[in-house]
Amino acid sequence: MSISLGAVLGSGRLFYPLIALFMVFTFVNVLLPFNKGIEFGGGYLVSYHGSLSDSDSVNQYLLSENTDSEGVTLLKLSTELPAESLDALKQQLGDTLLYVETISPSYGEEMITESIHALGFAMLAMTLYLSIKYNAFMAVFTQLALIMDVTISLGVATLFGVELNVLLIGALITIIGYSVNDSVVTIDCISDKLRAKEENPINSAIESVLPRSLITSQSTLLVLVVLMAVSYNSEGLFGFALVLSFGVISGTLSSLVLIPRLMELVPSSLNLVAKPSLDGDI
Amino acid sequence: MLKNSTFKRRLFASFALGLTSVPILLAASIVSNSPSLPDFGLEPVKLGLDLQGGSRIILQIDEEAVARKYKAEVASYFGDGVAYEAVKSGPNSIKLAGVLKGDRYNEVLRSFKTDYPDLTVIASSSDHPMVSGFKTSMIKRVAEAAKRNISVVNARLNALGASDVTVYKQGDSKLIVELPKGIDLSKAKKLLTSTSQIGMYLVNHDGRKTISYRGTNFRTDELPFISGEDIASAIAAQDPDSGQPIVSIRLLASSGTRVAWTTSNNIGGMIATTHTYQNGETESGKRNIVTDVISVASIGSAFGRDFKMTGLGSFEKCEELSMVLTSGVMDVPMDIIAEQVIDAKFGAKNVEIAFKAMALGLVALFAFIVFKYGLMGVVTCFTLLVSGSVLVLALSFYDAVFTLMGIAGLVLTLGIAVDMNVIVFEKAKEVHGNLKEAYESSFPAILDANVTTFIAAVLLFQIGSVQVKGFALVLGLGVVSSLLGSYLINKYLMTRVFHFNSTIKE
Repeated sequence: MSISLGAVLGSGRLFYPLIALFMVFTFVNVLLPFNKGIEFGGGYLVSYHGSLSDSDSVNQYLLSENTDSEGVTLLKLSTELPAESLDALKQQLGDTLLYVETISPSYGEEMITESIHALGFAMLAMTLYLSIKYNAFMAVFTQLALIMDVTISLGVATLFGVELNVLLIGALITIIGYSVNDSVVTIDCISDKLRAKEENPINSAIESVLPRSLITSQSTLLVLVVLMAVSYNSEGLFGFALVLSFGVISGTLSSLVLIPRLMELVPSSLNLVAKPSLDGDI
Repeated sequence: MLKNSTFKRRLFASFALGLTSVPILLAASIVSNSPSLPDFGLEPVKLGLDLQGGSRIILQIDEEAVARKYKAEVASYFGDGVAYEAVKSGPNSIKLAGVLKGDRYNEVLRSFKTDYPDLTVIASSSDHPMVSGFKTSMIKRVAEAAKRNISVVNARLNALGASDVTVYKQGDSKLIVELPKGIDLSKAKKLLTSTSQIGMYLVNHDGRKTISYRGTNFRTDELPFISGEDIASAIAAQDPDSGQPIVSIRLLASSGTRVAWTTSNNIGGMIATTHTYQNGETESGKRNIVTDVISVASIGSAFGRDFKMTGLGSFEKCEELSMVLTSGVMDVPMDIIAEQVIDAKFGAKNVEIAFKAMALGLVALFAFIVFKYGLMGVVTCFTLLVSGSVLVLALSFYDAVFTLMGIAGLVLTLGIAVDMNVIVFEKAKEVHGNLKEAYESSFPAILDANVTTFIAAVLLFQIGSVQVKGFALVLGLGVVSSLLGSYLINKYLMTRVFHFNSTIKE
């Protein structure tokens, strides 16, 4: 199986389909509405056991209602709900009430902006380090692969209606970490082949790194699939594992297909900075 | 002789294994509560709110109040010791009353420039200089106010009896308070937003302030000679004489001396005591600040450090006031913008599912690794446990709080650790089973990937929001512990202890 997969990946035929997929998902993210968790949309989250007979005072503010297999119902109410109605609802639910969450939308927006800032700086720092160790092009390609992976993962989340909340952000950051790890191993392999002045360095590198990439992604996917199977009922964890799974697949593809083909398209990316050798000879 | 060396080798191997198992034992004692494991005196890892249940309150600093206070402060700076208001105030600048003139003005201006480097003074042709630059300078002020409020919040919650409380800043002007379960949430909310303040004013016929009590007007000094800042501690009690609820006050030592001096010089004079607090909101939604005059009494003798305050109302009110006075006055009022109650049951469910899933996933992973790499795989699984334990120990050492985000960090750390091993083993195939060579030649790649991830973790930790910090901490520590375990320990075990030569089947 590895051989034929390797041939497919190595031939670079997946490159344009991959780019196409990336564009599709970008559109998905832009056009389809996010299932905003309360932290980003603002509002009230009321969770209780069992189901409530219709309460008119609450209905007009109801954004969504979900009952899971354990009989726990989750109501999402918009911020326009008047305080008295909320109190009345709480009284009505009495002991069956599990929790009430009140969030003003600014809290979530701030968190997103902070996270994006942090991410931006992290990407900058990584690019700097990689530019020194390898070369600027490779560093930039790594970040491009990262952007593609995040876009696709976010698109998957939007498509499947996974809630946009703190856990999802965690999943996205995890995918970033995985993508970077994968990309760096790949470009290191490519660099080795380039230094060894091999004839077909890029293809040879892909061949070389392929088994490792496959095994690593298989192992990680294994854990994630188990996670999905066990948390089938828990919407949060299931969505988390789902998004991560697609992220891992995308991360592997971005490292094996996107980066090598980009390097082929940009010949100057093949000029390496002299590698500071651990033995001291340059 | 052959037997001897094999025996020695076996002894050495078991010793090495034993040594490296120690972290696992330590970590297990942290994670589980089973009494059969010896207690090493290590603290269990704290679980975040989303995993253990509790409540979370998000407070927003009243930026308008900060601005008002700031401008009043600046206006008074030029007021020559008397509290003055600005003649006119806009969003970015204020117009001063122009009390100071000539040399005195220049003197004050010089010290103002050092004390308030962010603001600029514009002298105008009229006698009213303008001070501007508040908008940008506000950001720093709000951040400082937030920091000071955090210590007050901590003190108040401690007074409430809450021991395991976390308070931290979010963004520029928000505070997040996390309370463990069992705390009376409504009491906590009241306490957190209370801006109660008391003031004791000396009655003075030339005073600028007028206080009205029971139909009579009294003129007093502009500023109180005792206020919240002078109070060291306050306790609500029942007056043995009158049976009424009172607040028993003890002043700070420094204030005590001053108060004793003032009162001994004014025997026969009178003191008006006011209690300022928030009583709901006005129609426009603003805070309705009310000032009650609770007493006007004559000074019979000099005050000591301890005295009692009467006429405050119910015992509950006295309790609240005493807690507020003891913990300090809030630098700037805050509003509650969000509250979240997470029932312990809900939290417990999350933890159960998460750990069950991780355990199962780990089992599946180990099975896969052993299947692929045989005996070497077994050693790898062992070291994965070791580095996982080191990670848990490190988290406990750093007093880190484990959240759902932390689980994400764990998944990534696991993936990276596995990756490290796979790189080495695949390299071993290329170098015909020479493991030592495989480890050494794959080191640069492993190092680069991990350094890059570590850089990202450090930056996310420094800049990200609190949840991201939790993730970054797990990731950063995970990178280090994985390098330690899956590279160093594995390398040592495989090459020195077990002398494996890789015979990996495809």
